[in-house]
Amino acid sequence: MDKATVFLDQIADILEVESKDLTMETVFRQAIPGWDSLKGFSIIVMADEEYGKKIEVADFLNMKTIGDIYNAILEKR
Amino acid sequence: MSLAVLEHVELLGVSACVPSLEIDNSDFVKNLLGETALSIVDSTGIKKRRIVQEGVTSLDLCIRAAETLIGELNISSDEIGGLVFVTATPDHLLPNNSSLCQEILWLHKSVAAFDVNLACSGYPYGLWLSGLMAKSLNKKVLLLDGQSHSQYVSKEDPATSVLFGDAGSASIIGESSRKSAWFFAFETDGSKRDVLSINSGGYRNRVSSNSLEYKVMPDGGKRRDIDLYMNGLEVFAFASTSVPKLLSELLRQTNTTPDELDYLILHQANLYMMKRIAKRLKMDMSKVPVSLDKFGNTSSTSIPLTIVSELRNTIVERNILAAMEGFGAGLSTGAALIDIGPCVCPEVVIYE
Repeated sequence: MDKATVFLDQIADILEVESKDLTMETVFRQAIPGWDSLKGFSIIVMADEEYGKKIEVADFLNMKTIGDIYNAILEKR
Repeated sequence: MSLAVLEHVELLGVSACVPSLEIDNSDFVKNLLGETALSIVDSTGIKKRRIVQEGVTSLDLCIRAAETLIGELNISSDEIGGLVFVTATPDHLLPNNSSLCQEILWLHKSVAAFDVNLACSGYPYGLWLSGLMAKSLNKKVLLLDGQSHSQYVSKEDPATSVLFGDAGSASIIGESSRKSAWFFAFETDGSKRDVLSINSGGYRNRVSSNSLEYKVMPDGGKRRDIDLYMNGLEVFAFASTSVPKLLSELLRQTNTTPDELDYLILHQANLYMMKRIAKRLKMDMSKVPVSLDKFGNTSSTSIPLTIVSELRNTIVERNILAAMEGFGAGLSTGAALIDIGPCVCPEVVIYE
């Protein structure tokens, strides 16, 4: 599986949706039923644990799409 | 991880008491944050919670739970040689709650009674201490665990105001001729102490007129210095990583597989967090009892309250193998692998 697919699966698990319902363009705060800060925290924790990337809450609040999160993780530290 | 082993002890009975005042969390969230925030009720799972009426404390709830339990067990107060009161919401800074309980419950003056200052992690610690004491004293030990955090949570702080409920519980631990062992593991990380804290009111920053003023804090929450502060992200990170790790290790060191557990009794922090922890531990949610839908996050009391509210019919009849884990302020974690039942377990008592 390529990295992007693995990532979408991880996000889907956190958001409690099917990964087929997600793309990099998904605007997660609007598209996901039951979106809230707990799921946001879970994404930040996953980014640190799985990718070693520490995302600041302030930066996360500016991210709109799943692609935005993916790009942040891929960014060189 | 250090494994603590306790043999030949048993839980003779457990009871719980909650206030009669019930908050509908959807109404509360709508008034505080508006309708758009209602999804927090679903993800925390907290539909209703109970808070103490004016003039009532967690001590009162624990006394009621204890009286009910002692009555149903039909034991005399003289049989109780030790009293451990787990609470972070004592009636006074001095003297401790357990001294008051000695008098109110007519316990013999020879009782060894003291408080344990722990929040959400407290119950496994309380069980361990009570078991050690029961064996050392050759007497029964009364473990009271009660919290009324609602009193020091700012209603205008979205991070905390929607979560907490109040409750009290009583457990009686005694020696047993049965071989089965109780296992415990603990973790303490003081480097993270600030993420769940109350700044003023103790001896480091004593209460002043300044500490009673509501202010908008850097995280956007509006609270006083004497109110509970929680860094949601840091607490979530701790709960979703360190917490399942400790329990995994406890299971591994005791050669126990998740399948062998009848139940995983988690501190009722919020439902989403509990689901993430259960998933990590490969436990199906059908084995993870939930009481926070009715009572909210009742801190350390959530474990015994969940046992009484959700497992009562099971433990009065048969023996179950349960893992339990409390986690919270410290940051502190207490994990236990114990067998429970058959034992005495009255229904949840409502404090009028």
